[in-house]
Amino acid sequence: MLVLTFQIGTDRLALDIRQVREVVPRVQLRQSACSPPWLAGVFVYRGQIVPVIDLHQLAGAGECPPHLSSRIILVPVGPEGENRLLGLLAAQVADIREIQPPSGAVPYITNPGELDFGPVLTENGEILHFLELERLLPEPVQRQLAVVRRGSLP
Amino acid sequence: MSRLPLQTLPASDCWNQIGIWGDRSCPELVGAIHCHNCPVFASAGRHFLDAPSPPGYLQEWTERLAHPVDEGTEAVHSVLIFRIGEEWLGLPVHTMMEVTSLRPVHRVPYRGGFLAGLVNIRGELLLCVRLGPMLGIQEVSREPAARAERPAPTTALIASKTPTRTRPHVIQPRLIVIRRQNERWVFTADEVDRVQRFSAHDLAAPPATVARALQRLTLGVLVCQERRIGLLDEGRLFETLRTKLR
Repeated sequence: MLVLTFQIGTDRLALDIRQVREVVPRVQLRQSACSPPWLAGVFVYRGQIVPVIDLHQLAGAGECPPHLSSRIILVPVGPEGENRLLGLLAAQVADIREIQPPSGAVPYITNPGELDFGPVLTENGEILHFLELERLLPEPVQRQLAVVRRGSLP
Repeated sequence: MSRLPLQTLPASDCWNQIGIWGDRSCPELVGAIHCHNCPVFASAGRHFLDAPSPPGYLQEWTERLAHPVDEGTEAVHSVLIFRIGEEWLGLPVHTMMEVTSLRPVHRVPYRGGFLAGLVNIRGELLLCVRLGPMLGIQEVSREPAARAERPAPTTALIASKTPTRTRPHVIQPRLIVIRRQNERWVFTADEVDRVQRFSAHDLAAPPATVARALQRLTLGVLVCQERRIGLLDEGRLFETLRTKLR
């Protein structure tokens, strides 16, 4: 399975590339004063407003480093065919590699409703979290995101 | 920024010490053969991207991504534009094998009509056809007598002095070699212009006034720089060539 790897704080994450629409460079994000810290802001992507989540902030790992390799991963969200996108701001988004699908992976134990980077697996002596988008975002974040979308899109 | 525990950086530029640019004593070289194939080298290269982004970078990408893409959703065809007689024509570039300079065409005895003769293209004898008459285009006289009346260098000189043209205009007839599968044909074009990209919606229906033979072989009309270009239907063209000449 081909995965896109990136870094959040001290964790190395892998995301199945079939779940990625596009990886774009970091852009200027419009932030509103009252938005939560994990919401890095919104930007216009091909005429569509896309909210971007700073995974570093969400994981409590400080700010995303302002590097060239910090990029926005655009993933489709919501029901099929609705063509809604969500941006995930992450560091060191620079590598695609082949890994074994995590069949015997150790589940990463988190409390229900919290941020979940998914099960861990080892790849070439490195520990990777295999990210599952449905389980990534905590419940309150998802609720708030829905508000952002409704607010910005009539 | 530096507090990030990044991937392990190699302690030194090992590729210059023990690698392919060093004394080549690295044990990994047995498997990797060249440092280019080594993950240590690759990850070191990736660390160039851990530099801060240059000024203006974010702004540029913000603007670039905001624009919707209008290209890419539609099929775009590349068309070579050439002229036969007074008519500008186009053929998709994938049918093109070669555009080459004029060379002698050897007549085939007892065969006239649309077949101009045999021509030597890179040591191969190919059939050269008169596409102009086949398409019903009025042949512009290319007899030596006509050339004497209007010598080519003078024309070029006048044309280059005309203020409307920016580049010196040299009209040169060319041989065009076209191909479909293993069929190959050669024809003479009075001028070859350029390769132009068109999308399907640029194509308009051919006007009813064009010659019937040409209309039958034309897919439609493209407009490029106030020039109307008849896009030839490659399928029908090859079909016609085969039926008329065999």
